[in-house]
Amino acid sequence: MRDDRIVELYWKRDEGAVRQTEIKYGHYLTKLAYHILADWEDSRESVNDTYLSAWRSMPPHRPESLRTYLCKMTRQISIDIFRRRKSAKRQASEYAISLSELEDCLSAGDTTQRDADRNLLSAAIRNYLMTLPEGTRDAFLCRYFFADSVRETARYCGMSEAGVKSLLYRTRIGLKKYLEKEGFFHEE
Amino acid sequence: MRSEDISDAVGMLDGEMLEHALMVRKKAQGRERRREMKGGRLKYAAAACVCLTALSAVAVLFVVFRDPEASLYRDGIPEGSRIAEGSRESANSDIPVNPGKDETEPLTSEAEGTEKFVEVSSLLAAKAPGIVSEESLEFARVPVAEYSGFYEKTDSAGSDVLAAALGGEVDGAEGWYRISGHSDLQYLIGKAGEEYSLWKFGYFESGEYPYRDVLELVYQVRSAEDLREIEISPPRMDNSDEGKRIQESIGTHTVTDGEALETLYQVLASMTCYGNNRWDLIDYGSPEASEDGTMESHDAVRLGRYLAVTTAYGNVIDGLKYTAVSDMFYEFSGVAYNPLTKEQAQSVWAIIGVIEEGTKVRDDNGTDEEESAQDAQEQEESAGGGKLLCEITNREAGLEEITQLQDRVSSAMMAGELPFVISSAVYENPYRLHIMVTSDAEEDLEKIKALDTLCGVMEIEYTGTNTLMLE
Repeated sequence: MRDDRIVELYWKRDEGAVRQTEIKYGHYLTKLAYHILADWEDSRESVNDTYLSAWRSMPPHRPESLRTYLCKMTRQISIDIFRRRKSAKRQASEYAISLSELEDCLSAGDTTQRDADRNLLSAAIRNYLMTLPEGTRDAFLCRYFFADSVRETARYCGMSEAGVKSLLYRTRIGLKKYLEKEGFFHEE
Repeated sequence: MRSEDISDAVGMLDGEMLEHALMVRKKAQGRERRREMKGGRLKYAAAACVCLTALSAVAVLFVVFRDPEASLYRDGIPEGSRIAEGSRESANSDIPVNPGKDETEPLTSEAEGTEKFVEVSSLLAAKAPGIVSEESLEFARVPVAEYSGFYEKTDSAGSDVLAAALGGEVDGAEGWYRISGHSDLQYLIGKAGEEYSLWKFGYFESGEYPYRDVLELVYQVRSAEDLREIEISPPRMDNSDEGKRIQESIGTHTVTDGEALETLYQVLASMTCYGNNRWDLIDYGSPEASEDGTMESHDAVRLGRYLAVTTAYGNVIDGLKYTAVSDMFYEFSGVAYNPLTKEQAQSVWAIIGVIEEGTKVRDDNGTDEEESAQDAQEQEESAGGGKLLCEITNREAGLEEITQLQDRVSSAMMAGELPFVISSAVYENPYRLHIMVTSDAEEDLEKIKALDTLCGVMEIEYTGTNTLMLE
């Protein structure tokens, strides 16, 4: 079923909307959740919470791309579950590994105590990614948004694993320099 | 700042950026699924291949030793791989099924995501330099998943142009390449020696198969979202004065409405194909004028339509034809599909605009009633079917403006504001929006006309509450 028709079902408060969402995106969202949580039971819980959030948010929302809309929801819900876990269980997932990689983007001397303004940081990351070639951008998003493994990222982008690792490393360092230039890090 | 902050900020990136990454992943997953499907069947086909190979070897040895001068190859092609030839052919364009590893590298050996995209139109004869025009018909078989694809050689650009447009090699089909940047198999570039030629998909050589497999395997169409538009035009088999008049009155129009595309996709994906040369199954009516001037006159034109389906990837599926005479799709060379159900046929007529005045009418009970042209018109007017309620007065509108108007109508339909509207379609010559409705109430018409900010580009046809069925 087309996305616009599924969204219309949500707007009509037709429970078939959830069923159609599950048919079309259930497997896809579960896989995304698994990349973050590395646990099928938790992943299913995350996806069920996604359906509930979608039901509650449409209306008033009418997303242009239902797929992207649901991906963002599942990602955030899964990350919230991940953060509620105890530290031992966190280590197994691709998301955890990708988090450790993102530490390359941090400045060593940063002493910021307050949380970064997410909106400003997101805008800065977007601006940086737009300076990159499309393939590099896709690889970055595969790894750090979708939490795909390095092997999967290499497959999707038509590169070798070594090539992807090298590419992602250079991109992280580039992002770090960009954020430093934009004043996101403070040193005392 | 922590790495979690960066991860959260990445999660807030806009949809457009994510959509591209999603598209890249989807295409890669599609390629992997095709490989897996082929690999899964490979083990079951292996034993059969071994037996066939052994039998073929025995037969070949028998022929050779019986007649030492007999050649395994004719014009460079293993016997059995060429299917049909025309009156004149070029030896340089022969395509062996398994020519062995070639020495010429394709334009790029990288994944399709990194290949330069080459427009098919740049390789076809009409627009390409160095045209190679063949007067013969040449065909070849190319393995496509579990099927044998029947391909016809096509007039094309020169061999050097094709060589520069090579994409990845087709899995399990040595010497056959996709066009650079493409994942579809509609057009393939075949290599024989140092010569390249262009081939177009016709059908699968199989007794019966689901057309859905053609849509997915050849055209990469897996849902209505993979369709961009469908151009609908009248059949061109009748060039008498009356035939031309009918063609002109039908005109050509383009369907871009999401619901219509979904409906047509569901119909196409449900069809079973019975293969080619099945004219025994196809009845598209008579293109001729009947001597007694009865309703069957010219019905092949009146009740037929040619479709050109443009996919989201830019391919044009231009072989499908529909006839309301037998409510079925078919193609040239007699490729036949199953007749549609009553519900499917009704939905297709509404989209492609087959309903006309002055035709044989069959009511919903399935009984036939023959009517004269005048009686049919009177009945249609009294029942409110097929009657134009509003004609256009503005003939200057462009395609983009009409398409935007169609989007507004579609949005209003989806919002439940126009329950009496069946469908809308963009017509050409001049550009206008043709809307079919089940109500002729003034207040309902005003609701539709209020969306027409261009003033006078809407053509509203009242079909009444009963669907007229044609024979």
